[in-house]
Amino acid sequence: MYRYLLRRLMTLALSLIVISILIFVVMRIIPGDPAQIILGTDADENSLAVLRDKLGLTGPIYVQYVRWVQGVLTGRLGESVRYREPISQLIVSRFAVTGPLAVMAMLFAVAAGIPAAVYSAYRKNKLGDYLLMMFSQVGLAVPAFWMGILLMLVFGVRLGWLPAGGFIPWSESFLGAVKSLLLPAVALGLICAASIARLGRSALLNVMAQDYIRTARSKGISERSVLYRHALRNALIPLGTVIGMQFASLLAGTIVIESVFYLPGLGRFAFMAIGMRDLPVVQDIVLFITALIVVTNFLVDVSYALLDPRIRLE
Amino acid sequence: MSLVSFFYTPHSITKIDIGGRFEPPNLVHLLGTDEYGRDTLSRIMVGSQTSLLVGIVAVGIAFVLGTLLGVLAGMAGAWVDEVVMRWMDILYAFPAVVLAILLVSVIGPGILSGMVAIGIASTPGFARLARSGVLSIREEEYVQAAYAIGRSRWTAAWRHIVPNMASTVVVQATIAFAGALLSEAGLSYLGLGVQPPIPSWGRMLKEAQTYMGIDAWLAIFPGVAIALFVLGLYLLGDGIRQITDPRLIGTGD
Repeated sequence: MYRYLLRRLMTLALSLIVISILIFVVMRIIPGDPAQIILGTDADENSLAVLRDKLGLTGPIYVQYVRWVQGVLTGRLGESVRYREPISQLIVSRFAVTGPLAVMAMLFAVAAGIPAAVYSAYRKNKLGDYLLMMFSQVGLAVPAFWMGILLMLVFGVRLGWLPAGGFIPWSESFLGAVKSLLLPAVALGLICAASIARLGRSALLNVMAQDYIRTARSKGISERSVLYRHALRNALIPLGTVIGMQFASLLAGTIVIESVFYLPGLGRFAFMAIGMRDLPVVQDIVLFITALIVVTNFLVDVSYALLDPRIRLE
Repeated sequence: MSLVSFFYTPHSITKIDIGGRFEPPNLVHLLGTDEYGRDTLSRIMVGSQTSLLVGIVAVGIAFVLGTLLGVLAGMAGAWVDEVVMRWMDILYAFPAVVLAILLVSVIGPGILSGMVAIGIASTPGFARLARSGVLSIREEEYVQAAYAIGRSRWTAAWRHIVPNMASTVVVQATIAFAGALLSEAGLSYLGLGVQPPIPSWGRMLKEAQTYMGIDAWLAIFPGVAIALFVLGLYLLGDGIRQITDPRLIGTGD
Protein backbone atom coordinates (compact mmCIF):
# COMPACT_ATOMS: atom_id res chain seq x y z
CA MET A 1 0.00 0.00 0.00
CA TYR A 2 2.73 2.47 0.94
CA ARG A 3 4.69 1.69 -2.19
CA TYR A 4 1.58 2.23 -4.29
CA LEU A 5 0.87 5.49 -2.54
CA LEU A 6 4.43 6.65 -2.97
CA ARG A 7 4.39 5.86 -6.67
CA ARG A 8 1.11 7.66 -7.19
CA LEU A 9 2.35 10.65 -5.19
CA MET A 10 5.39 10.88 -7.41
CA THR A 11 3.32 10.84 -10.61
CA LEU A 12 1.07 13.44 -9.03
CA ALA A 13 4.00 15.73 -8.30
CA LEU A 14 5.42 15.18 -11.78
CA SER A 15 2.08 15.95 -13.42
CA LEU A 16 1.72 19.15 -11.41
CA ILE A 17 5.22 20.26 -12.42
CA VAL A 18 4.59 19.54 -16.09
CA ILE A 19 1.22 21.29 -15.96
CA SER A 20 2.73 24.37 -14.35
CA ILE A 21 5.49 24.51 -16.97
CA LEU A 22 2.93 24.10 -19.72
CA ILE A 23 0.76 26.94 -18.44
CA PHE A 24 3.78 29.13 -17.86
CA VAL A 25 5.15 28.57 -21.35
CA VAL A 26 1.79 29.16 -23.04
CA MET A 27 1.35 32.40 -21.17
CA ARG A 28 4.81 33.53 -22.25
CA ILE A 29 4.08 32.96 -25.94
CA ILE A 30 2.07 36.17 -25.91
CA PRO A 31 3.56 38.46 -28.49
CA GLY A 32 4.74 41.71 -27.02
CA ASP A 33 5.33 42.88 -23.52
CA PRO A 34 2.63 41.95 -20.96
CA ALA A 35 3.31 45.15 -19.06
CA GLN A 36 2.68 47.11 -22.22
CA ILE A 37 -0.53 45.19 -22.84
CA ILE A 38 -1.79 46.04 -19.37
CA LEU A 39 -0.79 49.69 -19.35
CA GLY A 40 -1.46 50.47 -22.99
CA THR A 41 0.82 51.89 -25.64
CA ASP A 42 1.09 55.38 -24.20
CA ALA A 43 2.61 54.25 -20.90
CA ASP A 44 5.95 55.78 -20.00
CA GLU A 45 9.07 53.65 -19.71
CA ASN A 46 9.34 54.17 -15.96
CA SER A 47 5.95 52.77 -15.00
CA LEU A 48 6.46 49.94 -17.49
CA ALA A 49 9.66 48.96 -15.72
CA VAL A 50 7.93 49.10 -12.33
CA LEU A 51 5.10 46.90 -13.53
CA ARG A 52 7.45 44.45 -15.21
CA ASP A 53 9.26 44.07 -11.94
CA LYS A 54 5.97 43.60 -10.09
CA LEU A 55 4.81 40.94 -12.54
CA GLY A 56 8.06 39.07 -12.15
CA LEU A 57 9.00 39.62 -15.76
CA THR A 58 12.61 40.49 -15.10
CA GLY A 59 15.55 38.14 -15.40
CA PRO A 60 15.92 34.96 -17.45
CA ILE A 61 12.83 32.90 -18.14
CA TYR A 62 13.69 30.00 -15.83
CA VAL A 63 14.22 32.42 -12.98
CA GLN A 64 10.77 33.86 -13.71
CA TYR A 65 9.31 30.36 -13.62
CA VAL A 66 10.99 29.44 -10.36
CA ARG A 67 9.83 32.69 -8.82
CA TRP A 68 6.25 31.96 -9.90
CA VAL A 69 6.32 28.42 -8.50
CA GLN A 70 7.78 29.72 -5.25
CA GLY A 71 4.90 32.17 -5.08
CA VAL A 72 2.39 29.39 -5.72
CA LEU A 73 3.88 27.14 -3.06
CA THR A 74 4.07 29.85 -0.41
CA GLY A 75 0.72 31.35 -1.33
CA ARG A 76 2.33 34.68 -2.19
CA LEU A 77 1.15 35.23 -5.72
CA GLY A 78 1.63 38.93 -5.80
CA GLU A 79 -0.99 41.55 -6.31
CA SER A 80 -3.55 41.76 -9.05
CA VAL A 81 -2.83 44.78 -11.20
CA ARG A 82 -6.52 45.52 -11.64
CA TYR A 83 -7.99 44.74 -8.24
CA ARG A 84 -4.98 45.93 -6.23
CA GLU A 85 -5.49 42.99 -3.90
CA PRO A 86 -3.35 39.90 -3.34
CA ILE A 87 -4.21 37.33 -6.01
CA SER A 88 -4.24 34.46 -3.52
CA GLN A 89 -6.90 36.24 -1.48
CA LEU A 90 -8.96 36.91 -4.59
CA ILE A 91 -8.78 33.24 -5.59
CA VAL A 92 -9.76 32.03 -2.13
CA SER A 93 -12.75 34.37 -1.97
CA ARG A 94 -13.92 33.27 -5.45
CA PHE A 95 -13.45 29.63 -4.57
CA ALA A 96 -15.87 30.12 -1.69
CA VAL A 97 -18.48 30.25 -4.45
CA THR A 98 -17.12 27.74 -6.96
CA GLY A 99 -16.19 25.05 -4.42
CA PRO A 100 -19.61 24.81 -2.75
CA LEU A 101 -21.27 25.07 -6.16
CA ALA A 102 -19.29 22.08 -7.47
CA VAL A 103 -19.93 20.09 -4.29
CA MET A 104 -23.66 20.81 -4.34
CA ALA A 105 -23.86 19.88 -8.02
CA MET A 106 -21.97 16.65 -7.36
CA LEU A 107 -24.20 15.74 -4.41
CA PHE A 108 -27.24 16.35 -6.54
CA ALA A 109 -25.78 14.32 -9.42
CA VAL A 110 -25.01 11.36 -7.16
CA ALA A 111 -28.34 11.58 -5.35
CA ALA A 112 -30.23 11.52 -8.64
CA GLY A 113 -27.90 9.43 -10.77
CA ILE A 114 -27.21 6.38 -8.60
CA PRO A 115 -30.82 5.55 -7.71
CA ALA A 116 -31.68 5.99 -11.39
CA ALA A 117 -28.87 3.59 -12.34
CA VAL A 118 -29.98 1.00 -9.78
CA TYR A 119 -33.61 1.28 -10.80
CA SER A 120 -32.75 0.99 -14.49
CA ALA A 121 -30.54 -2.04 -13.96
CA TYR A 122 -33.19 -3.65 -11.75
CA ARG A 123 -35.96 -3.05 -14.27
CA LYS A 124 -33.76 -3.79 -17.25
CA ASN A 125 -35.57 -3.44 -20.59
CA LYS A 126 -38.83 -2.58 -18.89
CA LEU A 127 -40.76 0.62 -19.42
CA GLY A 128 -39.21 2.48 -16.49
CA ASP A 129 -35.73 1.65 -17.70
CA TYR A 130 -36.51 2.86 -21.20
CA LEU A 131 -37.97 6.11 -19.96
CA LEU A 132 -35.05 6.79 -17.66
CA MET A 133 -32.51 5.98 -20.35
CA MET A 134 -34.34 8.19 -22.80
CA PHE A 135 -34.32 11.08 -20.35
CA SER A 136 -30.66 10.60 -19.60
CA GLN A 137 -29.81 10.45 -23.30
CA VAL A 138 -31.49 13.80 -23.75
CA GLY A 139 -29.80 15.05 -20.60
CA LEU A 140 -26.41 14.30 -22.09
CA ALA A 141 -27.24 16.35 -25.16
CA VAL A 142 -28.29 19.46 -23.26
CA PRO A 143 -25.62 22.04 -22.50
CA ALA A 144 -25.55 22.68 -18.76
CA PHE A 145 -25.62 26.43 -19.21
CA TRP A 146 -28.81 26.20 -21.25
CA MET A 147 -30.34 24.01 -18.57
CA GLY A 148 -29.38 26.82 -16.21
CA ILE A 149 -31.11 29.41 -18.38
CA LEU A 150 -34.25 27.28 -18.53
CA LEU A 151 -34.31 26.72 -14.77
CA MET A 152 -33.74 30.42 -14.27
CA LEU A 153 -36.59 31.15 -16.64
CA VAL A 154 -39.00 28.87 -14.81
CA PHE A 155 -38.03 29.18 -11.15
CA GLY A 156 -36.46 32.61 -11.20
CA VAL A 157 -38.38 34.70 -13.69
CA ARG A 158 -41.79 33.01 -13.95
CA LEU A 159 -42.37 31.51 -10.53
CA GLY A 160 -40.00 33.76 -8.63
CA TRP A 161 -39.17 31.04 -6.09
CA LEU A 162 -35.44 31.39 -6.28
CA PRO A 163 -33.10 34.23 -7.18
CA ALA A 164 -32.58 34.48 -10.94
CA GLY A 165 -28.88 35.10 -10.56
CA GLY A 166 -26.57 37.03 -8.31
CA PHE A 167 -25.00 35.79 -5.11
CA ILE A 168 -25.62 36.53 -1.46
CA PRO A 169 -22.30 36.13 0.37
CA TRP A 170 -21.95 33.34 2.94
CA SER A 171 -21.15 35.88 5.63
CA GLU A 172 -24.41 37.69 5.02
CA SER A 173 -26.83 34.81 4.93
CA PHE A 174 -26.01 31.13 4.80
CA LEU A 175 -29.44 30.22 3.51
CA GLY A 176 -29.34 33.03 0.98
CA ALA A 177 -26.02 31.76 -0.35
CA VAL A 178 -27.34 28.21 -0.64
CA LYS A 179 -30.43 29.53 -2.39
CA SER A 180 -28.44 31.46 -4.94
CA LEU A 181 -26.34 28.36 -5.66
CA LEU A 182 -29.28 25.97 -5.87
CA LEU A 183 -30.39 26.52 -9.46
CA PRO A 184 -26.90 26.48 -11.00
CA ALA A 185 -26.02 23.40 -8.94
CA VAL A 186 -29.14 21.57 -10.13
CA ALA A 187 -28.44 22.56 -13.74
CA LEU A 188 -24.91 21.19 -13.56
CA GLY A 189 -25.92 18.21 -11.46
CA LEU A 190 -28.71 17.09 -13.77
CA ILE A 191 -26.31 16.75 -16.69
CA CYS A 192 -23.86 14.83 -14.53
CA ALA A 193 -26.64 12.66 -13.18
CA ALA A 194 -27.48 11.64 -16.73
CA SER A 195 -24.04 10.17 -17.35
CA ILE A 196 -23.87 8.61 -13.89
CA ALA A 197 -27.23 6.95 -14.53
CA ARG A 198 -26.19 5.57 -17.93
CA LEU A 199 -22.71 4.42 -17.06
CA GLY A 200 -23.87 3.21 -13.66
CA ARG A 201 -26.53 1.10 -15.28
CA SER A 202 -24.07 -0.58 -17.60
CA ALA A 203 -21.58 -1.08 -14.75
CA LEU A 204 -24.30 -2.74 -12.67
CA LEU A 205 -25.46 -4.94 -15.53
CA ASN A 206 -21.86 -5.92 -16.13
CA VAL A 207 -21.52 -7.04 -12.53
CA MET A 208 -24.91 -8.75 -12.63
CA ALA A 209 -23.61 -11.03 -15.37
CA GLN A 210 -20.80 -12.33 -13.14
CA ASP A 211 -20.65 -15.84 -11.74
CA TYR A 212 -20.84 -14.79 -8.12
CA ILE A 213 -24.16 -13.10 -8.75
CA ARG A 214 -25.46 -16.36 -10.20
CA THR A 215 -24.14 -18.12 -7.11
CA ALA A 216 -25.87 -15.62 -4.85
CA ARG A 217 -29.10 -16.07 -6.74
CA SER A 218 -28.85 -19.84 -6.66
CA LYS A 219 -28.53 -19.65 -2.88
CA GLY A 220 -32.04 -18.25 -2.94
CA ILE A 221 -31.23 -14.71 -1.91
CA SER A 222 -33.87 -12.21 -2.93
CA GLU A 223 -33.22 -10.19 -6.06
CA ARG A 224 -33.20 -6.98 -4.10
CA SER A 225 -30.55 -8.24 -1.75
CA VAL A 226 -28.48 -9.55 -4.66
CA LEU A 227 -28.65 -6.11 -6.20
CA TYR A 228 -27.73 -4.13 -3.13
CA ARG A 229 -25.39 -6.45 -1.26
CA HIS A 230 -23.54 -8.06 -4.10
CA ALA A 231 -23.93 -6.09 -7.31
CA LEU A 232 -23.95 -2.48 -6.18
CA ARG A 233 -20.90 -2.93 -3.98
CA ASN A 234 -18.86 -4.32 -6.83
CA ALA A 235 -20.14 -1.74 -9.24
CA LEU A 236 -18.96 1.04 -6.93
CA ILE A 237 -15.47 1.04 -8.43
CA PRO A 238 -16.53 1.71 -12.04
CA LEU A 239 -19.16 4.08 -10.68
CA GLY A 240 -16.49 5.90 -8.70
CA THR A 241 -14.41 6.25 -11.85
CA VAL A 242 -17.34 7.80 -13.62
CA ILE A 243 -18.00 10.20 -10.78
CA GLY A 244 -14.33 11.11 -10.56
CA MET A 245 -14.20 11.82 -14.27
CA GLN A 246 -17.35 13.85 -14.01
CA PHE A 247 -15.67 16.13 -11.55
CA ALA A 248 -13.41 17.64 -14.20
CA SER A 249 -16.28 18.36 -16.56
CA LEU A 250 -18.32 19.65 -13.66
CA LEU A 251 -15.59 22.07 -12.69
CA ALA A 252 -15.37 23.19 -16.32
CA GLY A 253 -19.15 23.55 -16.28
CA THR A 254 -19.01 25.91 -13.30
CA ILE A 255 -17.00 28.34 -15.40
CA VAL A 256 -19.84 28.83 -17.85
CA ILE A 257 -22.72 28.50 -15.39
CA GLU A 258 -21.24 31.16 -13.13
CA SER A 259 -21.60 33.59 -15.97
CA VAL A 260 -25.20 32.51 -16.52
CA PHE A 261 -26.15 33.21 -12.91
CA TYR A 262 -23.75 36.12 -12.34
CA LEU A 263 -21.99 34.25 -9.56
CA PRO A 264 -18.70 35.75 -8.42
CA GLY A 265 -16.83 32.44 -8.70
CA LEU A 266 -13.48 31.38 -10.08
CA GLY A 267 -14.67 30.85 -13.65
CA ARG A 268 -16.26 34.23 -13.92
CA PHE A 269 -13.20 35.73 -12.30
CA ALA A 270 -10.93 34.13 -14.89
CA PHE A 271 -13.22 35.22 -17.66
CA MET A 272 -13.29 38.81 -16.43
CA ALA A 273 -9.53 38.78 -15.94
CA ILE A 274 -9.14 37.95 -19.63
CA GLY A 275 -11.30 40.93 -20.51
CA MET A 276 -9.15 43.19 -18.35
CA ARG A 277 -5.88 41.67 -19.62
CA ASP A 278 -5.00 40.74 -16.05
CA LEU A 279 -2.86 37.86 -17.27
CA PRO A 280 -1.12 36.80 -14.04
CA VAL A 281 -4.57 36.20 -12.58
CA VAL A 282 -5.56 34.05 -15.55
CA GLN A 283 -2.36 32.07 -15.20
CA ASP A 284 -2.91 31.43 -11.49
CA ILE A 285 -6.56 30.48 -11.85
CA VAL A 286 -5.87 28.05 -14.68
CA LEU A 287 -3.18 26.42 -12.56
CA PHE A 288 -5.54 26.29 -9.58
CA ILE A 289 -8.34 24.63 -11.56
CA THR A 290 -6.13 22.07 -13.31
CA ALA A 291 -4.34 21.26 -10.06
CA LEU A 292 -7.73 20.73 -8.44
CA ILE A 293 -8.67 18.26 -11.17
CA VAL A 294 -5.39 16.36 -10.96
CA VAL A 295 -5.51 16.15 -7.17
CA THR A 296 -9.12 14.94 -7.25
CA ASN A 297 -8.22 12.22 -9.73
CA PHE A 298 -5.35 11.25 -7.46
CA LEU A 299 -7.67 11.03 -4.46
CA VAL A 300 -10.14 8.91 -6.42
CA ASP A 301 -7.37 6.52 -7.46
CA VAL A 302 -6.03 6.23 -3.95
CA SER A 303 -9.47 5.63 -2.50
CA TYR A 304 -9.87 2.66 -4.86
CA ALA A 305 -6.68 1.20 -3.60
CA LEU A 306 -8.07 1.50 -0.09
CA LEU A 307 -11.36 -0.08 -1.11
CA ASP A 308 -10.07 -2.74 -3.44
CA PRO A 309 -6.86 -4.57 -2.61
CA ARG A 310 -6.60 -5.91 -6.17
CA ILE A 311 -5.66 -2.48 -7.49
CA ARG A 312 -2.64 -2.08 -5.22
CA LEU A 313 -1.00 -5.07 -6.79
CA GLU A 314 -1.14 -3.75 -10.30
CA MET B 1 -30.97 3.55 -35.48
CA SER B 2 -30.73 4.35 -39.14
CA LEU B 3 -33.57 6.70 -38.27
CA VAL B 4 -30.83 9.02 -37.17
CA SER B 5 -29.50 9.59 -40.63
CA PHE B 6 -33.00 10.50 -41.76
CA PHE B 7 -33.33 12.99 -39.02
CA TYR B 8 -29.78 14.10 -39.48
CA THR B 9 -29.64 14.76 -43.23
CA PRO B 10 -32.58 17.10 -43.66
CA HIS B 11 -31.02 19.08 -40.88
CA SER B 12 -27.71 19.56 -42.62
CA ILE B 13 -29.41 20.31 -45.96
CA THR B 14 -31.37 23.17 -44.51
CA LYS B 15 -28.22 24.39 -42.85
CA ILE B 16 -26.74 25.41 -46.14
CA ASP B 17 -29.38 27.89 -47.19
CA ILE B 18 -28.43 31.19 -45.72
CA GLY B 19 -31.17 33.23 -44.13
CA GLY B 20 -29.74 36.67 -43.66
CA ARG B 21 -30.52 39.14 -40.98
CA PHE B 22 -33.71 40.73 -42.22
CA GLU B 23 -35.97 42.99 -40.27
CA PRO B 24 -39.42 41.92 -41.41
CA PRO B 25 -42.58 41.72 -39.28
CA ASN B 26 -43.37 38.81 -36.96
CA LEU B 27 -45.74 35.85 -37.43
CA VAL B 28 -44.21 35.06 -40.79
CA HIS B 29 -41.25 33.74 -38.89
CA LEU B 30 -41.64 30.20 -37.76
CA LEU B 31 -39.59 30.65 -34.61
CA GLY B 32 -40.18 34.35 -34.15
CA THR B 33 -37.67 37.16 -34.36
CA ASP B 34 -35.10 38.60 -32.01
CA GLU B 35 -34.64 42.06 -30.57
CA TYR B 36 -33.57 43.45 -33.93
CA GLY B 37 -36.39 41.78 -35.78
CA ARG B 38 -34.08 39.15 -37.10
CA ASP B 39 -35.61 35.79 -37.91
CA THR B 40 -34.67 33.29 -35.24
CA LEU B 41 -34.97 30.27 -37.52
CA SER B 42 -32.60 31.77 -40.06
CA ARG B 43 -30.17 32.74 -37.38
CA ILE B 44 -30.25 29.26 -35.96
CA MET B 45 -29.65 27.87 -39.42
CA VAL B 46 -26.68 30.11 -40.06
CA GLY B 47 -25.45 29.48 -36.54
CA SER B 48 -25.33 25.79 -37.32
CA GLN B 49 -22.59 26.47 -39.85
CA THR B 50 -20.45 27.83 -37.04
CA SER B 51 -21.10 24.76 -34.95
CA LEU B 52 -20.39 22.50 -37.90
CA LEU B 53 -17.15 24.26 -38.76
CA VAL B 54 -15.86 24.27 -35.18
CA GLY B 55 -16.89 20.65 -34.76
CA ILE B 56 -15.21 19.47 -37.94
CA VAL B 57 -11.95 21.32 -37.37
CA ALA B 58 -11.75 20.48 -33.66
CA VAL B 59 -12.53 16.81 -34.19
CA GLY B 60 -10.17 16.81 -37.18
CA ILE B 61 -7.32 18.02 -34.98
CA ALA B 62 -8.14 15.53 -32.25
CA PHE B 63 -8.64 12.69 -34.72
CA VAL B 64 -5.33 13.14 -36.52
CA LEU B 65 -3.23 13.96 -33.47
CA GLY B 66 -4.89 11.46 -31.16
CA THR B 67 -4.88 8.53 -33.55
CA LEU B 68 -1.28 9.13 -34.58
CA LEU B 69 -0.12 9.38 -30.98
CA GLY B 70 -2.19 6.40 -29.93
CA VAL B 71 -0.86 4.20 -32.72
CA LEU B 72 2.66 5.40 -32.00
CA ALA B 73 2.29 4.58 -28.30
CA GLY B 74 0.70 1.22 -28.96
CA MET B 75 3.17 0.09 -31.59
CA ALA B 76 6.36 1.43 -30.05
CA GLY B 77 5.55 0.35 -26.51
CA ALA B 78 8.19 0.74 -23.80
CA TRP B 79 9.16 4.28 -22.87
CA VAL B 80 7.53 5.92 -25.91
CA ASP B 81 4.22 4.50 -24.78
CA GLU B 82 4.83 5.67 -21.25
CA VAL B 83 5.80 9.21 -22.28
CA VAL B 84 2.96 9.69 -24.77
CA MET B 85 0.28 8.36 -22.45
CA ARG B 86 1.52 10.40 -19.47
CA TRP B 87 1.18 13.48 -21.66
CA MET B 88 -2.33 12.45 -22.55
CA ASP B 89 -3.13 12.04 -18.84
CA ILE B 90 -1.87 15.54 -18.23
CA LEU B 91 -3.96 16.95 -21.08
CA TYR B 92 -6.97 15.32 -19.47
CA ALA B 93 -6.63 17.81 -16.65
CA PHE B 94 -7.37 20.65 -19.05
CA PRO B 95 -11.08 20.81 -19.88
CA ALA B 96 -11.80 22.54 -23.19
CA VAL B 97 -13.08 25.66 -21.47
CA VAL B 98 -9.95 26.01 -19.36
CA LEU B 99 -7.71 25.50 -22.38
CA ALA B 100 -9.76 28.04 -24.25
CA ILE B 101 -9.34 30.56 -21.45
CA LEU B 102 -5.60 30.01 -21.64
CA LEU B 103 -5.50 30.32 -25.43
CA VAL B 104 -7.86 33.26 -25.61
CA SER B 105 -5.74 35.22 -23.20
CA VAL B 106 -2.75 34.53 -25.44
CA ILE B 107 -4.09 34.83 -28.99
CA GLY B 108 -7.32 36.67 -28.31
CA PRO B 109 -10.93 35.51 -28.60
CA GLY B 110 -12.12 34.07 -31.87
CA ILE B 111 -13.08 30.93 -33.66
CA LEU B 112 -9.47 29.77 -33.92
CA SER B 113 -8.76 29.63 -30.18
CA GLY B 114 -12.00 27.77 -29.65
CA MET B 115 -11.30 25.19 -32.33
CA VAL B 116 -7.74 24.58 -31.20
CA ALA B 117 -8.72 24.40 -27.53
CA ILE B 118 -11.53 21.92 -28.16
CA GLY B 119 -9.34 19.94 -30.55
CA ILE B 120 -6.50 19.58 -28.08
CA ALA B 121 -8.88 18.80 -25.24
CA SER B 122 -10.43 15.96 -27.26
CA THR B 123 -7.09 14.46 -28.30
CA PRO B 124 -6.50 12.19 -25.27
CA GLY B 125 -9.76 10.35 -25.90
CA PHE B 126 -8.67 9.38 -29.41
CA ALA B 127 -5.15 8.54 -28.28
CA ARG B 128 -6.36 6.16 -25.56
CA LEU B 129 -8.82 4.52 -27.89
CA ALA B 130 -6.28 4.10 -30.70
CA ARG B 131 -3.68 2.75 -28.28
CA SER B 132 -6.01 0.18 -26.78
CA GLY B 133 -7.14 -0.72 -30.30
CA VAL B 134 -3.56 -1.29 -31.38
CA LEU B 135 -2.78 -3.34 -28.30
CA SER B 136 -5.71 -5.65 -28.89
CA ILE B 137 -5.15 -6.07 -32.63
CA ARG B 138 -1.35 -6.18 -32.55
CA GLU B 139 -1.21 -9.84 -31.60
CA GLU B 140 -3.83 -11.01 -34.10
CA GLU B 141 -2.74 -13.68 -36.51
CA TYR B 142 -3.20 -11.60 -39.61
CA VAL B 143 -0.84 -9.00 -38.22
CA GLN B 144 1.70 -11.67 -37.42
CA ALA B 145 1.22 -12.93 -40.96
CA ALA B 146 2.02 -9.47 -42.27
CA TYR B 147 5.28 -9.52 -40.31
CA ALA B 148 5.99 -12.97 -41.67
CA ILE B 149 5.88 -11.77 -45.25
CA GLY B 150 8.39 -9.12 -44.34
CA ARG B 151 6.29 -6.04 -43.67
CA SER B 152 7.82 -3.52 -41.33
CA ARG B 153 6.13 -2.60 -38.06
CA TRP B 154 4.79 0.70 -39.38
CA THR B 155 3.53 -0.69 -42.68
CA ALA B 156 1.71 -3.38 -40.72
CA ALA B 157 0.26 -0.72 -38.46
CA TRP B 158 -0.93 1.39 -41.34
CA ARG B 159 -2.22 -1.39 -43.62
CA HIS B 160 -3.57 -3.92 -41.15
CA ILE B 161 -4.13 -2.41 -37.73
CA VAL B 162 -5.49 1.06 -38.41
CA PRO B 163 -8.19 -0.09 -40.87
CA ASN B 164 -9.38 -2.65 -38.35
CA MET B 165 -10.10 -0.11 -35.69
CA ALA B 166 -11.63 2.43 -38.06
CA SER B 167 -15.16 1.84 -36.85
CA THR B 168 -14.33 2.43 -33.17
CA VAL B 169 -12.48 5.59 -34.06
CA VAL B 170 -15.37 6.82 -36.19
CA VAL B 171 -17.76 6.23 -33.30
CA GLN B 172 -15.40 8.14 -31.05
CA ALA B 173 -15.39 10.93 -33.65
CA THR B 174 -19.16 11.34 -33.50
CA ILE B 175 -19.05 11.46 -29.70
CA ALA B 176 -16.18 13.95 -29.81
CA PHE B 177 -18.12 15.99 -32.33
CA ALA B 178 -21.04 16.16 -29.93
CA GLY B 179 -18.69 17.18 -27.14
CA ALA B 180 -17.15 19.83 -29.38
CA LEU B 181 -20.58 21.27 -30.11
CA LEU B 182 -21.36 21.52 -26.40
CA SER B 183 -18.00 23.14 -25.65
CA GLU B 184 -18.33 25.56 -28.54
CA ALA B 185 -21.77 26.61 -27.34
CA GLY B 186 -20.36 27.27 -23.88
CA LEU B 187 -17.43 29.22 -25.26
CA SER B 188 -19.50 31.39 -27.53
CA TYR B 189 -21.92 31.95 -24.67
CA LEU B 190 -18.99 33.36 -22.74
CA GLY B 191 -18.00 35.44 -25.75
CA LEU B 192 -14.73 33.55 -26.14
CA GLY B 193 -15.73 31.85 -29.37
CA VAL B 194 -16.95 33.22 -32.67
CA GLN B 195 -17.17 36.99 -32.68
CA PRO B 196 -20.33 39.07 -33.24
CA PRO B 197 -21.14 39.42 -36.90
CA ILE B 198 -21.32 35.64 -37.28
CA PRO B 199 -24.25 34.13 -35.39
CA SER B 200 -23.64 31.20 -33.08
CA TRP B 201 -26.04 29.29 -30.89
CA GLY B 202 -24.17 29.99 -27.70
CA ARG B 203 -24.16 33.73 -28.21
CA MET B 204 -27.79 33.74 -29.27
CA LEU B 205 -28.57 32.28 -25.86
CA LYS B 206 -26.44 34.93 -24.21
CA GLU B 207 -28.31 37.69 -25.99
CA ALA B 208 -31.65 36.03 -25.32
CA GLN B 209 -30.96 36.00 -21.60
CA THR B 210 -31.15 39.78 -21.49
CA TYR B 211 -34.67 39.72 -22.89
CA MET B 212 -35.78 36.65 -20.99
CA GLY B 213 -38.56 38.47 -19.16
CA ILE B 214 -39.97 39.83 -22.40
CA ASP B 215 -39.53 36.97 -24.83
CA ALA B 216 -38.79 33.55 -23.40
CA TRP B 217 -38.81 31.82 -26.79
CA LEU B 218 -35.54 33.42 -27.73
CA ALA B 219 -33.87 31.55 -24.90
CA ILE B 220 -35.43 28.24 -25.89
CA PHE B 221 -34.93 27.61 -29.61
CA PRO B 222 -31.14 27.92 -29.90
CA GLY B 223 -30.83 25.52 -26.96
CA VAL B 224 -33.20 23.08 -28.61
CA ALA B 225 -31.07 23.30 -31.74
CA ILE B 226 -27.93 22.44 -29.79
CA ALA B 227 -29.61 19.58 -27.96
CA LEU B 228 -31.10 18.09 -31.13
CA PHE B 229 -27.84 18.29 -33.01
CA VAL B 230 -25.90 16.69 -30.16
CA LEU B 231 -28.55 14.05 -29.63
CA GLY B 232 -28.49 13.25 -33.35
CA LEU B 233 -24.73 12.76 -33.19
CA TYR B 234 -24.97 10.46 -30.18
CA LEU B 235 -27.59 8.36 -31.90
CA LEU B 236 -25.56 8.37 -35.10
CA GLY B 237 -22.56 7.09 -33.15
CA ASP B 238 -24.68 4.35 -31.60
CA GLY B 239 -26.04 3.49 -35.01
CA ILE B 240 -22.59 3.19 -36.58
CA ARG B 241 -21.41 1.08 -33.68
CA GLN B 242 -24.28 -1.31 -34.02
CA ILE B 243 -23.99 -1.59 -37.77
CA THR B 244 -20.25 -1.98 -38.05
CA ASP B 245 -19.43 -4.26 -35.18
CA PRO B 246 -21.86 -5.88 -32.81
CA ARG B 247 -19.00 -7.30 -30.76
CA LEU B 248 -18.00 -3.83 -29.67
CA ILE B 249 -21.10 -3.31 -27.59
CA GLY B 250 -20.19 -3.08 -23.96
CA THR B 251 -16.47 -2.67 -24.54
CA GLY B 252 -14.50 0.49 -25.05
CA ASP B 253 -13.45 2.73 -22.26
